[in-house]
Amino acid sequence: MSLRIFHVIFITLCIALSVYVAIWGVREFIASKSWSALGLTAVFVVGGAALVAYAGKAFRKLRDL
Amino acid sequence: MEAHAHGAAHELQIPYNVHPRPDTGLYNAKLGIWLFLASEVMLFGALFSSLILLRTGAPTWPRGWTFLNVPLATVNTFVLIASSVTVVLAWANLRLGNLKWGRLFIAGTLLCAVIFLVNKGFEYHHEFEMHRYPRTSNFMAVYFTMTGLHGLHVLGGVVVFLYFLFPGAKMWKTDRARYTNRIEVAGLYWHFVDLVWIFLFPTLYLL
Repeated sequence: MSLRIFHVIFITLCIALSVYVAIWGVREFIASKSWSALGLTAVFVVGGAALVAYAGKAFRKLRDL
Repeated sequence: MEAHAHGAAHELQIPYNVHPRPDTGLYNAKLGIWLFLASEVMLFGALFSSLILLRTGAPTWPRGWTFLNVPLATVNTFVLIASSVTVVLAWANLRLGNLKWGRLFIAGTLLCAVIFLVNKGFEYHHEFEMHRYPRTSNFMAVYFTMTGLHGLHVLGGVVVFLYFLFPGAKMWKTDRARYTNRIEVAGLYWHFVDLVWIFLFPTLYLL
C-alpha cells in the first residue's frame, strides 16, 4: 500500500471520527446538559467539514500524482 | 584487474532500492516498513485488547471525559491530522522535484510533532499535580501506558524527520528517487502513529 492510499484511508477515518464525536457531544449534552460537550461537537463539525473539503480537493490531485 | 573490481562492486549493489521488486510490487524500504508496522499493530492491538478486558471486567470504570484534559487532547488530534497532510505534501513536492517545498513541509510535520509532545507534557504535568499516577487506578495505568507508548512513537518520528530534514537531505543530490522513497516510508510510519491516536482519543477521553 502506498502513502497515497494510506492517506486517503486515514482522512476517511478522521471524517468518521469527527461524525462520531459530533454525535457523542449532542448525546452527552442531552443526557447531562454539558455545554462543553456541545462545544466539542461544534469543534468537530467544523473540523470534519474542513476535512471533507480537503478530501474533495486533495484526493483528485493525489490520484494524478 | 580493475574491470574485475568494478564487476564485484556492481554485484554488491543492493537491488530494489528505488524500483519495486516485480514479485512483491514493493521496493525494499516499503516492504520493511510494512513488516515493522505489522508488528506495531500487534503491539497496540494487545494494549487495546487489555483495555477492553480490564474495562469489561471492572464493576465501575471512570469516564476520561469527566477529569482528563479533553480540550488539549482535541487540539492534539487536529495537530496530528494536520501533520499527516504536511507529510503527504512533502512527499508530493519531492516527487515533483521541488526540494525546497518538500523540506518546508517536512519542517511543518516536525513542528506539529513537537507541538503534540509539548501539549502532552502539559497534560501529564496536570495529571501529576492532581496526584494521578499510573499506580492510582487501572484506568490511569492504561492511560499512561498507551499515551506514553504513543508519545515515544511521536518522539521517534521527530528523530526520523530531523534526520531527513538535515543530514539525510544530502541524498537528494546523489539519488533523488531514493530520498523521495525514504520520505514516503517515513510518511507511512507517521500515518500509522496518527491512526493510533485517532483510536486512542475517543477510547480514553470520551467513552
